[in-house]
Amino acid sequence: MNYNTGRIADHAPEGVLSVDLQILLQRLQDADPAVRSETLLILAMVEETQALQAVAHVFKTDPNAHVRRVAQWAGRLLWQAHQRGHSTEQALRQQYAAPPKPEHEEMLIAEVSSPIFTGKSKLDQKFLLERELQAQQRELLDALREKPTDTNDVSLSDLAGSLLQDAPGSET
Amino acid sequence: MTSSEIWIRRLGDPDPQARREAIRQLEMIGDPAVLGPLAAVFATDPDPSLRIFAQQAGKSIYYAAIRRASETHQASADERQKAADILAQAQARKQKRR
Repeated sequence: MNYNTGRIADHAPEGVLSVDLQILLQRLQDADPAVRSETLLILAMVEETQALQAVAHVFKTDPNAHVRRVAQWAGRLLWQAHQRGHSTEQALRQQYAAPPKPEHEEMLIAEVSSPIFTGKSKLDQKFLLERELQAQQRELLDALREKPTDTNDVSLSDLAGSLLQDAPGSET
Repeated sequence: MTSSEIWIRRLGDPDPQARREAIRQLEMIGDPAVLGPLAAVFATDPDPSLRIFAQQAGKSIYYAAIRRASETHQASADERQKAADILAQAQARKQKRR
């Protein structure tokens, strides 16, 4: 096994250590097939379901047969992730608990300021944990109300259909 | 050779434990430049548990990078100005007390 060093940094703005969906989508159009393949692997690894359409486009149109095969493999994984409801947005929300809203914060401060609250006992810690979980649940429910999921399922189903077919012709 | 590059080389070690340690170290370093090599492990490593481990590390780095980017771009010019004003006022009060 021999792994090359990553090339994400080459495509990020100079001096900025960052990567996001836009940078990855740009890399799918790179002139170098190795960069396009590597990007497809990254998208599959991080289960970036927002890239599903772009991956399907690569699968259908890329001039390189190897890249098309990788796109098909990545597209299947992304489709499976989409089917089970995965999204980067939701994963980020779970990984980094959103800061409490002002009204939640006020309530929390009032409760923590209570003379019987020390923050050290197991009961107090359990209370804090429960409050945090409740706040996260509220955030999630708010987000779901604001942005209904699966609004684009019809077109994504079509994409999945094409990804599950055999790869197009093998000209390189 | 950077520390990332050293650990990226170790991703090709025949010993699965050495590869696992390399993935762990790369996740701790957190450089998005290693997403490519981690994705290669995710796609091709003969050990299924290492493929999953590499995926978890890759996601962790990706999410952290997105979060950093969003934090950088979240504050508008007005918000930054407001924050600077508040800091200046706090500084002035502090000096007044002295």
